[in-house]
Amino acid sequence: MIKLQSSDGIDFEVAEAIAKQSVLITNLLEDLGETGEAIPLPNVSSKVLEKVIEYCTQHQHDPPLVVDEYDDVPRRSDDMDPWDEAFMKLDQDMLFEILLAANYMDIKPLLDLGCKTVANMIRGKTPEEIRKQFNIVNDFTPEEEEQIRKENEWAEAN
Amino acid sequence: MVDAADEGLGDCTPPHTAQCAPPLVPPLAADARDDQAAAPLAGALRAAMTAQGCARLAVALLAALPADVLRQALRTLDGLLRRDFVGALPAEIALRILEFLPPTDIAGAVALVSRRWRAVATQPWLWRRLFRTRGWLLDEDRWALYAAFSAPADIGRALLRQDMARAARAFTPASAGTLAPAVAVQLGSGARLGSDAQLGSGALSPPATPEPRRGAAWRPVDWRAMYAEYHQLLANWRDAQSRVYRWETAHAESIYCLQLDQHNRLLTGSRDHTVRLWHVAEAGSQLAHLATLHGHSGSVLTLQAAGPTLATGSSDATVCVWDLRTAAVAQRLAHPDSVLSLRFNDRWLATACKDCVLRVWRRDRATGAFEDPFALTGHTVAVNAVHLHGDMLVSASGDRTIKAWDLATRSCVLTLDDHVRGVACLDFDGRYIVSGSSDHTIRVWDVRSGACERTIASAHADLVRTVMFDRRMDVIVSGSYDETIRVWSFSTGALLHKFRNVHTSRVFKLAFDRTRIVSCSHDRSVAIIDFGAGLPHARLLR
Repeated sequence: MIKLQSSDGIDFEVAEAIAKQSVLITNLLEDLGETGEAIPLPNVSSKVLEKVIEYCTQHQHDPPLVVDEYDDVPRRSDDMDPWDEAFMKLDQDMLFEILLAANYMDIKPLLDLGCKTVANMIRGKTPEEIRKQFNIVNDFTPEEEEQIRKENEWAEAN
Repeated sequence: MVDAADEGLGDCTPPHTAQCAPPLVPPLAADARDDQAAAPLAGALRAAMTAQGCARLAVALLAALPADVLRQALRTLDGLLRRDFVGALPAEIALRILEFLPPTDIAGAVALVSRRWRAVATQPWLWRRLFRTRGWLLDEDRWALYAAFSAPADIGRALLRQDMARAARAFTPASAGTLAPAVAVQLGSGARLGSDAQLGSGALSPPATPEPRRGAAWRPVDWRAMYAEYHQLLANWRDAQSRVYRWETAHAESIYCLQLDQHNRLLTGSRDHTVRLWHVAEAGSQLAHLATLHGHSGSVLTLQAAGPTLATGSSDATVCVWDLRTAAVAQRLAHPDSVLSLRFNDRWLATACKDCVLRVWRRDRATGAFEDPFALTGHTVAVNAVHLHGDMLVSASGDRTIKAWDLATRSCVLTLDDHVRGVACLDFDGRYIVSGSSDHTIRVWDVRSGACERTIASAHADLVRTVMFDRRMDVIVSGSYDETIRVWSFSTGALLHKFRNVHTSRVFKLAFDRTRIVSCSHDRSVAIIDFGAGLPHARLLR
């Protein structure tokens, strides 16, 4: 068992197969050896770490990722498995924190899952709908907007 | 983590701390007196109460408000729970998110959300990746050249010089000093070169070297613009947005065969016994005659060039293998009758002969010479077309069949016999064969299953004489004795476009690349259907 400690000082005990889905933890374990001490994760709160562990528990028996990071195929987001899709039904603030945690802990499948989820919230929407979705203020001047629209005409017509 | 620091990510520097943009809905009207009264109160309450207690108090306060103010307050609260995923996350995560979106969404909607979103959506790194994941290629050597000159005419002249230089590498001995095209015509050690062989007069006079723009010799590739141009190019294919150029050539009779390479060099073979080499201007509007090769005493029916090697087949019952660096015939391979088609690669040369027999030579790796010929028999009527892929040879015959042969074992491995009249032409990419027949159909075959996957019935109103396809572009292009050129979807067989007035007689051969279809005809003309017209960098797209 591996002990992980969240930023708010709570310890989580998890099986090695679960913890090692994080490249950060795998590397730490390699560097430090198994000391029995809790591994501190100062950038991850207990609420977020709990979700991350839930994800890693579900996926602990997955075959290791063999897809090359820069393989030359377009990325797609319509291939989520049902458990992942249900798992991603989160409030935006939690999704945001999970993305940061997955990036920090280097859990590529979870990072990709989060990115796909956000991409699906953007896909096919107008700029105004996107702003509403994420509570963003339009800080363009009308002239800038017109200029960008012109530049990107090629994307509109088709 | 995405290691993209050296990929241009430095241009974009969103802060790495998560922070929320101000709420979208108009904020509740501020009042200085309220703020003054509320601040110490709120502080004291938060200190004295649990979070749950604060929330209960807030809800009690809200519940007492008039409905419109309550609604406004709720919107403000709702905004607090939303996050700006692209603007507030580290750029490496934001880019990862955008990669999952269709590029048209990125350019169309994402770039218009806010300045921060635009900064991420215009990252060159992102667009280069999107460009490449689509299997698209860019001639980056040429990009440098485009970047070095400002005036279109200068670019045109510089490109011509570059084409000539590239051509010269294949067409002149390495020792030749000048790279001017005239060099190609002064060679003639083995073959007589026509006196008309020169790099045009008038409009296409040998270019003076333009001076590159000062300090502008290098400019990074604008991947976003290149993506947009490629996107438009594909739309032009789909919508047949094209310009047609047509030249009456110096050939005295029908042009039977041709090949266009990516350096704008065009080779044509004619009933007038000659092979001619041309240069097609980058913009597509000019065709300059570079050289004439004399070596056959009959019609030149088929040709293929690769590197410095050109192979031509003729009704004089020979195949000539030329060394284009010297314009000399390196090998002459005798046949009992007209050679109707040929293909070679780094291992083999295969010819289709009117005597129904396929002949195959092994290519010597060191010398490039073709030797140890053997024959493949099985067709019962003249073989009209052959194609090679690795060790697999496919052949189309007047006997209505297509056969696939394994050259390693010298055996016929597949016979496809759905055509109801002779098969005139075919193209092969290692997996699929597309064939055209005098039964007016085009058929698509899967070599792995041996099945006819699709039939385009009544594809043309007459014999289908020439066909080429590209799965990545999802097109089949065909030319016929009905004088038309037609573009089809490879995956559905749907007719995308019909070109009627490109030629005034039978179409004998066509070829296409990413931007244009080039064709030749019994009418002695060469034509180019250019889908890149109006796209400044079309010719860089591969």
